[in-house]
Formats: sequence, structure tokens, C-alpha cells
Amino acid sequence: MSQQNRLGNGGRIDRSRPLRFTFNGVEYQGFAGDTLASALLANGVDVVNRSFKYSRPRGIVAAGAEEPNAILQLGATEAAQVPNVRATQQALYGGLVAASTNGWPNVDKDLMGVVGSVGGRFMPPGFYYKTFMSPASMWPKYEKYIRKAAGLGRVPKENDPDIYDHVNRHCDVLVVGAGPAGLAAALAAGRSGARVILCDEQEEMGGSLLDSRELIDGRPASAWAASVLGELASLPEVLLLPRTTANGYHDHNFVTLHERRTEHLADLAPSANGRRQVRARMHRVRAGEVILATGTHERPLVFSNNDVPGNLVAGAVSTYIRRYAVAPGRRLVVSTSNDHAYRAALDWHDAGR
Amino acid sequence: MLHIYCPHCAEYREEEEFRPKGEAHIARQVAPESTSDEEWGDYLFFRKNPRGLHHEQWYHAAGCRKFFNVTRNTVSYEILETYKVGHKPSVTQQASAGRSSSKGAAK
Repeated sequence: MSQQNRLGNGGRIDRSRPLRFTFNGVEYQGFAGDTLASALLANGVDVVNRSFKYSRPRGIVAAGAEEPNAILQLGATEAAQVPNVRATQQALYGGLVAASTNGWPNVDKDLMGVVGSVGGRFMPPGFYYKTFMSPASMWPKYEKYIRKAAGLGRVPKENDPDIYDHVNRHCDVLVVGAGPAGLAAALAAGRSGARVILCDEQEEMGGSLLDSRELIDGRPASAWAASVLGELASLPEVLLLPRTTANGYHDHNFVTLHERRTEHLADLAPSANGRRQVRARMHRVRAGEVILATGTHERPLVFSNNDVPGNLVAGAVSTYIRRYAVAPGRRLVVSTSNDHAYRAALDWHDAGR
Repeated sequence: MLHIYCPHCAEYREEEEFRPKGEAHIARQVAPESTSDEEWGDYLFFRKNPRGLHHEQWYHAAGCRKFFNVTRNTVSYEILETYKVGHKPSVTQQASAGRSSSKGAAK
């Protein structure tokens, strides 16, 4: 179980808790605190999927919600199948089973890739699978294979045994995003005695502070985040919701939040005190004020072959090195239009690569 | 989802408790037997469909079960005021330049 890209030290992972997981039938090892994406990179897995149309190989590009390629199928059993989970948003747990959603017979040897490699001549822009619909008598024959090629992932064939619920909430201030801006806003509101809900979609609150090189008040940014989170947790009117995505901002400050309560623990919701836990919870929040502190996504540069596996946005390189102690490769070539790349180069240098 | 101030309950409640009941301030014909078919048809069926300020009736179906009026912006869904039936709206198309912060304004 070599994790050849794992750095010797650093990161916010728990090296005392190794976790085994399976990707496309091969067993790998990661650590608690990893995302599925960081664990795959640590094991040197370059190709995680195939492109939808030409079956070009696809690697991990980003480290968060903006990931376009690492869209995987999860689930060890039929009932637990979940299609199209971003590997960058899925926390690693022991026994996780993941597979690519595209590529046949597998992502490394893909027959559709032959079509892609002879170029777009046979599949020009605007080519649809509907092209095969005539003659109509042949459609049932085509359909079996074409249905497989169309769409990503597959739905489970068995019923979902998990429980889902919802809860109504009211607050004075709802803060979406627990990065530097969101934490500061929640702290200011919380200290005033206001009822505050702070939600963040990641496993750990802190956002960019968790992988920042910056110092705040002479201490590492992550230490500042930890102390702010500690103070927020001690305030009685503040509710912290990690692993919670704000997925709708409706009229009159009505916001819906989707909280993933057990998806970082196992395929299916584990039991606690003899009862099955709720897998996901919908919070229907009516807020006095809503603060959107959702941060930014880095825009990738446009150049030919920028989809070849190994091309990452610079911010993601920093995140993988500093937060997950993974160097996503052996050598680094930087091209930049913004400051993130300088940070990435410094982090890469610190990583000793 | 709208957050609506019921002037009878004197509280903000969720949209789910209410039913919209169409345009407000439609006066019943005083002498139905002597109105023309066209006037009667207008009274029964023809409604404004404005883009912007609209005075409309709402029914607090899952609450006090009383009717009241709402002045609502049909573009932004902003509720400018709510008032009891029989009262005049304080926010109107003519006087909407200086927006009042009367009771019922969305908060």
C-alpha cells in the first residue's frame, strides 16, 4: 500500500488512522481526514474518468466543489449506490468503494477512446446519439449500447434503506460559508447576541484558512480559524453546520440547507444507540439577514490539451499539499495569470519536491 | 417562499399558511339587475395583471381564517404592506415613489 505522493509530514490528516478503500476494483490506502480525491492523488491515480463524448482520459483538476472530472459512483452494495459524487467533496471512510462513471471496459483501457483518438471526424460537434435512431427497426438493438454511453453514473436498482428528514429553523443571521469572511461575520454577529447559523459545505470549517500560508495575529491562519470556531461553539445562540450546502435562496430570505450527516462515515447511515441515524437533513431556514461568504473558484487557463491528466488549477495544488499532505505529481510546471500560482510554487518548494 | 404579515394575527407567518385570492378592491355592482352584460362580465371575470405593484387579497387558511389585503410587487415578490379588508392601502402606484415602511413590509 504505497502512497507514493504522500508527503512525510504536514497536512490535516490523521496518520494514525489509515483507511482502506477501493477504486475501480483496486484497493488503496488513505488516511482519516482525506477526501477521496486527495487519497487517489496520494496513490498516484492519474486517470479517474473518461470524457463524456470522446472518452479522453480525465484527471483531478480541483480540490473542491468546482471539480469537473472526478465524478464517481459510490457504494459497496446495490442499495447504497450513489451516482455522480465529486471525489473532492467525499470524505474518505474505511471500506469506501468508488468507480468511474464513464469508460468501458475501464478508464485505463477505453474502447470509446478509439473513436476519440481518430478525432472528431466521426463525431463532429452536434453529433447526437439520436443519429442512430433510424432505421426505427434497428433502434432496440442500438439502444442497449447507446443507453450505456449516454449519461454518467447509474441509479441503484434496490430501495434506499436510509432515513432523511427536515427541520424548520429561524435565525437573525445566516452565514453561508465558513472561510475567513464567513467566520468573521459569524463571530461579529454571534458576539452581539444574535441568533446565528453558520453553514459550510466542507468536512471541516475554515475554508481557505486551512491551507493558507498567511499569518493572522502572528499565528497560522488555521489556528485563528480554530480559535474562532471554538468561540462560536461556546456561544449559545450560534449553530454550526459543517457538511451543509446552501442549495436554494428563495424569496424573503428563505434558504434551504442540505446537511450530510453520515456520508463521511459509511455507505449507509450507521446506527447509534440502537437506532438508524438520519443520513441527510434539510434545514428550512427563515433568516433575518443572509450573508453569502461563499468564496471564489479559480478559473483554469485555456490552452490546447489542458484536459490532459495532471493539469490542476494552482490553488488546488496548494490545497493538496498543505491540507492533505499530498504532492499531486513529481515535477511542477507553472503557468499563471494570478497570485495563486506563486503560492503553489512556494508550497511545492516547501514540500521538498 | 413569501413571509407574510397577517394583520389579524399581528405576526409573520409562512406562505404555506395562506391562500392567494386574487385582486383586491373590486366593488360589487350596486344594481346587478340593471347592469349590462358587459359590465357584469368585467366585474366577474376580468382582472388586472400588472407588472409591478398589485393590491391583492390573501386568506389565512391555516391560521385565523380571515381575509386581508396585501400590496405586493409582482416582479420582485416584495410585500410592501398588508392591511385589513375595508382599509385603504398606504402604498399605491401613485405614491410608491417614497416607499413607506408600514406594518407588513417584508423584513
